[in-house]
Amino acid sequence: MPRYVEYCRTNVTADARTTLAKLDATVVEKCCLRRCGACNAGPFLIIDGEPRRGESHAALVKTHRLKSE
Amino acid sequence: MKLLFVSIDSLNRHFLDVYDPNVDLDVETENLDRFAERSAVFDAHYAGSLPCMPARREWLTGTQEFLWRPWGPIEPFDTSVPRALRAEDVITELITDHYHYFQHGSGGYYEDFNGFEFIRGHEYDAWKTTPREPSSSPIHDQLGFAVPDDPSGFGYLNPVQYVRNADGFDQERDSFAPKVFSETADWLRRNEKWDDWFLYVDSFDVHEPFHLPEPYASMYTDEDPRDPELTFWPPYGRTDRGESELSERELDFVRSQFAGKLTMTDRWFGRVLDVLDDRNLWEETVVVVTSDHGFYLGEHGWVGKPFEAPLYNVLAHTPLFIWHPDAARTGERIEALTAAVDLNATLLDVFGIVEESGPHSRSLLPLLDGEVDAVRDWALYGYWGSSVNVTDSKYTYLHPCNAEIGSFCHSTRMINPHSWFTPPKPRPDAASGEFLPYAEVPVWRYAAPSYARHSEPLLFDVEEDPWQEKRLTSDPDESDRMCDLLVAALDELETPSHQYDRLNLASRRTE
Repeated sequence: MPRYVEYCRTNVTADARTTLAKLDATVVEKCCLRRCGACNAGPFLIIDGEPRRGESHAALVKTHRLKSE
Repeated sequence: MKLLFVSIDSLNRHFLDVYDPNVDLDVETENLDRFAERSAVFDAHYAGSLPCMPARREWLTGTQEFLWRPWGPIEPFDTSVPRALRAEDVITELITDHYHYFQHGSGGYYEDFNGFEFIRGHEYDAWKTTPREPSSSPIHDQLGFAVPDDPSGFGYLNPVQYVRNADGFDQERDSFAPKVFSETADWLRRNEKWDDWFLYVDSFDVHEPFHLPEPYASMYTDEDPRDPELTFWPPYGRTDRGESELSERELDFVRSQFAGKLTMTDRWFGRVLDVLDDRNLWEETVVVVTSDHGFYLGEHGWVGKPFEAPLYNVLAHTPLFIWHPDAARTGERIEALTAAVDLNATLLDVFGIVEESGPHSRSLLPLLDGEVDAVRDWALYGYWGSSVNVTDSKYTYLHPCNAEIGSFCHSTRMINPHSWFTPPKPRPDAASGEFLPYAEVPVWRYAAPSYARHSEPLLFDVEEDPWQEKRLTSDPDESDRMCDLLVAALDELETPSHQYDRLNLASRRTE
């Protein structure tokens, strides 16, 4: 089953949004993940139900890929 | 005259006996039932601007704000109900545990009341700072969603705030609805010497988290309510994937805790009715009971109020009961279409100052008096920045937006269009001007992203299909008529032109 990635619309740049859309995963764009503090502080994704914070969305995705492998 | 307004947040109308319940649970709400029996019961009442604070601005100022701005403050050009009533020598009081009134993203909602009582600690209310290690609390493991990195982190909206707030709650009286309605009953007893008053009671219950004392926690389930595998606070979203995924067992438990919270709220609401009985207040008091929206408990595959979910009637079709001692139709069912924004003019009309109502509100007193059969032929509802929805009470028509076309936020404050609960960020890109058709003052206008809830229009015949399970796809004429009704409503409200663009309705605009 493909990974399930949720992100907040206002947490991503246009580039990050495009990158996320190309992932080999079910990617769900939300308007709020109800963790506004974390979301406001920096890049924030929820991957398969687990919240992840990181330096960048690319780094989060890279980590996710490594863990997938 | 005396006026008691009660909002019970997230009160799903389909859990109430008076509204033909559609749940497997036989939920005890004997006090709401007895109040409904004496009141006018509105069958076609709809939310307007959603969610919580946008609904309150509709009630308090009569402004259908979601076409112009999201969750935000009372504006300088608004006349709130308590402000208008001060000029009429009516004493006003707010009793609430609804912490959103006092949080980033609001402003101006409580300041006009002569008095207010704020009961602390619900949900994310920034109240207690101990225990420092919240994982020691027995309810910590029942939080439905995790915090990234640091469970005791300093971010806004950290779910462990609730664990700290509820630490030490060990009896029913510690819970929120009991405190709110006890305070309400006490206020009624203490304020008998005032001739004219407006008491505005806003109960955050039955809003989540559905954390309950006994006997309510076990009332509608055989599960152990403190089983750490079961959550009383589900994340919003699909029930079949992602963070919000719930098994049937977990969803059944969440439903049982919602039902238990409703019964607890009902029992303490009954204390207020008892005071009205004991003090013989009914003949001089108007009582309004309503809610801001519902809450998905698995219907259509959703839980909560997800931003990516269509606004089905579970959320938008809300309860309304009005007791008016002098109105001809008190005690009857009222089938006419009504809207949340109409409560603003209705509250003011009770005191004879309907002219102070906001720009989009229509008093329901002529309906209650039997002078008219209808006050409106459409009701608009939605969240700012997404779909715009309309009903004529027989049909609901949910019209999607093009999420690639942005929206605009209009306010005298630079509010965060999406991240409402965090400190406002300056918007150097903002323009200023008289952008509002209902206020002759300049406001800021700045862009913010739209977001989609569905890609196709969704039409339902809610008289024949109240649970909106059969999308009407074979009736283009009816779909066209409802789309025309939507455009007529937008035209009547002088909706900003960008809305027609993002809704792909520019070609249908009549002016």
